[in-house]
Amino acid sequence: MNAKVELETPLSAGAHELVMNRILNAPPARVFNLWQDRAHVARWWTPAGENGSPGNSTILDFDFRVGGLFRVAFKSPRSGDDMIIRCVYREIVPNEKLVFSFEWEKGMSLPVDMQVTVLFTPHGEKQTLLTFRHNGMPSETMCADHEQGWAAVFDNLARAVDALQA
Amino acid sequence: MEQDALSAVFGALADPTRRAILARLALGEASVNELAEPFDMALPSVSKHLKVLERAGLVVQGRAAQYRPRRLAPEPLREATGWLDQYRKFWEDNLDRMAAYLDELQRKEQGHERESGT
Repeated sequence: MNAKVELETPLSAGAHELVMNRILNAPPARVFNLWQDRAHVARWWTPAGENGSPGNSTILDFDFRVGGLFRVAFKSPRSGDDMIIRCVYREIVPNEKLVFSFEWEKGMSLPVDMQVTVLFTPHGEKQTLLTFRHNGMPSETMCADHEQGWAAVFDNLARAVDALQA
Repeated sequence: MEQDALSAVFGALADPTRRAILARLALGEASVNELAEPFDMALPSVSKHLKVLERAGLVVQGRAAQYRPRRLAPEPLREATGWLDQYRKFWEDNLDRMAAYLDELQRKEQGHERESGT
């Protein structure tokens, strides 16, 4: 069985990073191949429908190289709206590391720059520790006050919100 | 939180004057005049900022006829600072499917190995 492992706790609201870890019962090369091969990706990158019914995503673009595009269309399980995710590969180290930008091309509009980092590390003889990070900052261009920056804004707000609850 | 609502909150927070207004309201409700005091800014400008904050759901008005104090509505702020959480579910589901698919592939391979007697 594959295991979920929380080796790190998510950082505070100001830091905006999601961290998830899994131990998988296959060597890194096999797991990496699931992200590298278009036919494989089409079989798992598929939002499930309501009640776990089969997914409905379509890969629009799959260009697995630095600067290459990965675009996926699907229907929101909740609203049925058409959605498109657009990723651009930024770093590829075969069987070790994958970094790509992540944004909504359709279906959602979020003024945030997001990036995903996936690390594939050998775990024991035959397993892989998959370290997954999704982080993002509200786009700096949105912030009129560049000196302060969004990280500080959110830190201060998180503190203010906590104080309100006290 | 709906993405449009989140965009509205981020947009409202992107301006230092509006953040200062929110900081003042965090201390208690205030009238438009009271809010305008610290700024070297005409009243209509402050009202414009307040409208942006109200549209984002961050500020609400009282109902007294003559005096309409503004209050801070903290819920959108809380949701905005936690925007990343919605991606946790998205990725947990995605990684679950990847892991399940990996298991399926390996079961098939082991099945083939047994059949061919290797």
